[in-house]
Amino acid sequence: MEIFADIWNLVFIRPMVNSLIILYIFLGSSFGLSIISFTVFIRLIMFPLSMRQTKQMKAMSLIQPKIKAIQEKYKDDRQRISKETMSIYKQQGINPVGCLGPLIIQMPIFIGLYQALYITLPSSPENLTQLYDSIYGFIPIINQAIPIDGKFLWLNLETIVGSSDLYTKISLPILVAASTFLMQKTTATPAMDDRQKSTNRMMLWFMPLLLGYFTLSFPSGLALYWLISNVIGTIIQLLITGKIQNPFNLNSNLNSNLIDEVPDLIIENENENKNTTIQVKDQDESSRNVSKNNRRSNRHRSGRIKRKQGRGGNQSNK
Amino acid sequence: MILFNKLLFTCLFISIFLISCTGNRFQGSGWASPLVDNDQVFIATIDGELISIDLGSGKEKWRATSLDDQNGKYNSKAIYSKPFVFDEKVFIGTPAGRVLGFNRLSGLDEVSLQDIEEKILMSEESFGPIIVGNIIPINKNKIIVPSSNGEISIFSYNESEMFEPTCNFKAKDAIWTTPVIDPNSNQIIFGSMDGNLYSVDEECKLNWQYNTESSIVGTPILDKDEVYFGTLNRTFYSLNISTGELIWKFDNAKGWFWASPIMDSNIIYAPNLDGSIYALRKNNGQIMWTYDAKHPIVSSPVVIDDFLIFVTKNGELQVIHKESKRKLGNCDIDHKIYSAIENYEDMIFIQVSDGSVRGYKIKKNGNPDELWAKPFFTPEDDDRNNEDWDPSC
Repeated sequence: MEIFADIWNLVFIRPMVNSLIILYIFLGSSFGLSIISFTVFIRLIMFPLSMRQTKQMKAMSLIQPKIKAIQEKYKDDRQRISKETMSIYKQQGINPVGCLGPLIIQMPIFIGLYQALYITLPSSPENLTQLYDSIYGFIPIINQAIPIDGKFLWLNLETIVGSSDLYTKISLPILVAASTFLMQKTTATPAMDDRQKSTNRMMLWFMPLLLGYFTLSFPSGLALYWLISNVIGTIIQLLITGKIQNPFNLNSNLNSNLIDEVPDLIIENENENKNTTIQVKDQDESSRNVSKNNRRSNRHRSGRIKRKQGRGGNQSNK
Repeated sequence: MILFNKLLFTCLFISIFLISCTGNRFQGSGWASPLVDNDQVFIATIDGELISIDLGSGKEKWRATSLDDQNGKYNSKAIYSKPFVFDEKVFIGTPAGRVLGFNRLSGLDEVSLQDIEEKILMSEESFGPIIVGNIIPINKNKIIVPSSNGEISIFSYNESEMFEPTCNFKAKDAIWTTPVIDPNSNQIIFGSMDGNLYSVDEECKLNWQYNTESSIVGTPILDKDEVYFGTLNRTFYSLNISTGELIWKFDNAKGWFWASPIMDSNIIYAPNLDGSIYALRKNNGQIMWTYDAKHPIVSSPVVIDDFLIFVTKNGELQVIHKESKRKLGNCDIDHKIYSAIENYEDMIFIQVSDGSVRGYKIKKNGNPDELWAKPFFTPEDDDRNNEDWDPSC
């Protein structure tokens, strides 16, 4: 286990701690600005992953009618459902757990940052000795910057939110909860049925409340990271989905690479040797923003699912 | 999508759970070294208690509990400041910035310095109100209180057995060092996290200050007209005590000078977080030898006869010959140690972060012989079990 701890420290903790300290030095000894700029940096690194996650989520959303149709069609044959579902995933180039990839990658960063903050802003005097183990001591300015001043605006970044003054105790959980709500709202995908709708609604409210509550046990610095990360994430999401105008044409990029729109489809019924047509409506506006090239290439794909005709086009990109 | 949401929720929940499980990280362990006074060992504990232990037997005499509320910035009750005896009372500096006095023999509450409490609790300096350095009695009627709010305060003891504030001096950052007093000039010398070594007089007026551009955590030591101290920028300094001018500096260490150095026979033994003890000539700072203890040294060592005795942060007690640096004895305590070693005759006492205090007698051949080991766990609301506790050495 010790070797894993060493690798963890080497790969995540030490670079994070030293980056935070160097940013602190160059940003006028403000650890708050250091956390904010570090968060922006992390979000920029994660941007391709966020983009991919959005695509995957959108694609998952688009094929849900197909999946549902298959589930209804072969409701007595679970093996067949599984086979057909996988076949659709494969055809559309979807990894069923692909949506989780970026999230899973973000988790170690989040936990690593938590530990890095805890090390950089010691919560007790003896914990300052732990910082020694994590810094690149051969860089003299790093030694000189210690101890780090954890004050930022009205916050003491190393202090647990729940142990802070009343203003911090109230404001930070509310800000974190509100930003999580916004983030959830922008990333939520349209529900296919009532059950999913209620799950989405529950998540939309439950997660912000839960995180707001847990913020009380975070150091203020971590709450600041979470808040800034949510705000940036929301902006990126709005840019990607085209809900706000962006100078980088991100949503066009998203749509041009998106999987084929969901057409009406025919599933061969082998037993009865006749075709059953299942009409599928577009789920949202973006499903029409699909390139003709992708549709064309999909027409050539072999399989049990035959496409009658694709609808729409890339009008929105024109 | 339901599956996705469930997985998302699970991932977040696990991460929050992991974070919640690290709550004990905010518990400080304290580093108050024990105080030996006559036949008693006083220990200020991780749990914020003051305990009197019989020197010979290790038997608990009394225990003063609930010294402090958790009003401090740190979510901890742990005590950092070494107890001190004054007017037959034993005093302690607490994490909430209070100084409390107890009857030395009975442990009953006698004095509480509310002035200090009020003043320091109002502070919003970077390291909070916690008293980390030791409180020093001077001239039989005064005490000097260093605080992590950056203030050095002097209090005088009046006829009604209460302390009155006399004066204070404010540094730019926290003071974790113990102030030292030059007996000739009555200068009070202390280091600060702001990187300065300060000299003030008994009226708290600044004599001089020397800027090292790096934090000073280890208490300086004095010898005649020189003061010696190390800093976190891996440099060890010698200054003229009258003028504050640099005499020499040693900057070949690889790590932070955290613990207080000690001096014996014109040699300064300076422990370092790089795991070494540097033996330096006091007159010019030239290195005589370096001993590699393999692990960071956070606590201050002691010299008994020909032996240099120190503990590493990971809990190894080592005894080496002070001139030949030959290793003579050791004891693996196997728990983190931050507190300085307290020396009384040929005995040493150490507070260990597992919630115990250990006493050792140093034999003539240098081997540490355990006198007693005392866990000071509070029986109620404590998942540690005294019966399962193993002194292991």
